[in-house]
Amino acid sequence: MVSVDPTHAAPPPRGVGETMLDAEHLTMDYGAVRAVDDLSFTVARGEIVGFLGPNGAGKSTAMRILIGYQVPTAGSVRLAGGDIFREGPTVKRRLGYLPENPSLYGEMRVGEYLAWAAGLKGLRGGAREQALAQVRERLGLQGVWQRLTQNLSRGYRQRVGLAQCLVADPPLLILDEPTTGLDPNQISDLRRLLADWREEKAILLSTHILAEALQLCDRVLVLSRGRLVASESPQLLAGRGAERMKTVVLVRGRGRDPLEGLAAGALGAREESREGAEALWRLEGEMDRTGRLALMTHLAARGWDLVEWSAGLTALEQAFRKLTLEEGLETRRDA
Amino acid sequence: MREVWFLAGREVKSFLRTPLGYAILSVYALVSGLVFVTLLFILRQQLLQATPTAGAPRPPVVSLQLSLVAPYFYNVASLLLFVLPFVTMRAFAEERRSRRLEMLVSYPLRAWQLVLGKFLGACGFALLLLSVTVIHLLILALVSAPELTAVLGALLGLVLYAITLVAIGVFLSSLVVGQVEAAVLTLGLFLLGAMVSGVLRPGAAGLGRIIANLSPLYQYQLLSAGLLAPGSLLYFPAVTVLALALTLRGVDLIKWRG
Repeated sequence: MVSVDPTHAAPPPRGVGETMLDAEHLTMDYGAVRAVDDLSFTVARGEIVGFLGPNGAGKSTAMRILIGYQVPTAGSVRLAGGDIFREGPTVKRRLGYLPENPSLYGEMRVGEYLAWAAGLKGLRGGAREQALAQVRERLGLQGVWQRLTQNLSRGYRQRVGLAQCLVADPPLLILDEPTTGLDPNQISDLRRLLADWREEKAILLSTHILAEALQLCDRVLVLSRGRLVASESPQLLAGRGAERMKTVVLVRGRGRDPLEGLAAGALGAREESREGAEALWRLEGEMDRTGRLALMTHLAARGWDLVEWSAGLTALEQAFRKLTLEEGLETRRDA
Repeated sequence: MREVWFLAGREVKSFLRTPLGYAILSVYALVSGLVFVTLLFILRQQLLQATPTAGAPRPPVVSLQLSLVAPYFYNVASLLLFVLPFVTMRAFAEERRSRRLEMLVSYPLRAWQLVLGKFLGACGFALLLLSVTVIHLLILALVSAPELTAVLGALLGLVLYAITLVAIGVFLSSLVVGQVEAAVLTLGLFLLGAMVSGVLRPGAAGLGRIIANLSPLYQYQLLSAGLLAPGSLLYFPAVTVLALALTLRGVDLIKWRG
């Protein structure tokens, strides 16, 4: 069974500061269904932690518990040192939360909405004006400041959602699928913003996009059927999946067989088409990292032209599938 | 307390900036206006009939209070049973459906601030509706001489009654997800309460009498008729406070049920 003992989970990377979020043994039952099962982890200032898991893994439930919206069946959440349920209003001053597809009040203008949110977060007078000016500039909202939020594009709505999250400059950000529905340019902008905030904040980021986790996160937590099945750097996690990967290679050349002279194992070769002495070959099979390296060296040494190289899944995707599917199988077997 | 006003202010502004707010205001103004004009015509008819003519028996005296003021207030109170569920339906139910409640809960707010803010916001809009009634009463004061204390007493009673209905509506809104569900639940309960009270009241005793007396519409009738029994005076604040306490509990339940 794949499981992670929280006491032996990978420690936060070096350079991180104080612990801003500390979830301990969180369990959430809905009747007979256990949505979150003994979940423990920490997020410290200076790191971006990815929260991964397939649909129904318990991510949203866990996030709702973390912000104090839902009381867990067991376990505790400490936010900036204070218990979220006992000291809620005090500790929530240090929290910024962005739900998935944030729903804004459509009849309010952007500036008005953010001023309202800042007021609710305790900012008054000059401090509020200063905070508003900062988020307006930081999130590039100058052009839409007077626009009704219902008339904003998806990307700008997301930015306004982030702005309400940031307006009181909280040291902890909990972001649920922040890039969902954004176009590639908007995703790139948002990732740049998150990277900028890395040094000063603790960020917990729920995402379906594994490449995003690989690019942004210092650490990823993989949740499967409510249980934490991995807590490590995305690079290390990708290493787990890199052992065997379905690989498809198209090569062109004049030789008899591209795999001649190579201990190819499970790799198969098929001639796709031929023009005179030159043929297009398709090589296909499951290979580990060493095998792929050996294949590339072999093909280059024999003068084969590489036409296409594709892997069915990236290493991180494979690791994710492996962890979440294996865990699912184990759970079904246990049941 | 500033946070409460932030919440309440946004609620009132939201009604004034959305078609829903204007639809509610229009329906209330139109129906209450029709009631007012119809009662004025009936009063005019009664006054014409009451004009003494030579040789005829002395006609009955026409009372402005009984012929116009009391039925007007009763009809307006009945109208509020239909209108206010649409004012309170969004308070929590729509916030939950849209997941805005999650965002609000992540803010440094206490549950009572949230409940009070939503309640006061809905009350603010309900009072705006009643301003239409104030206009009707001013017109009445211009063309006749109503009993001022009776009219003011009925108006104050109407305000208390509307606030109580709002508190009950906000509580029911905290129990469901989605504004349609909240509106149907609130409207259903308001109408059921009025019907049960109407059916049970005549000659009811024991439990039937207690149930009949629980109806806000019945209590309002007592208050507007000038029967200032301590029970009726205490009823509206007590039910309002109880409904708000239950709303707090309802918001708490959301945390436990998710």
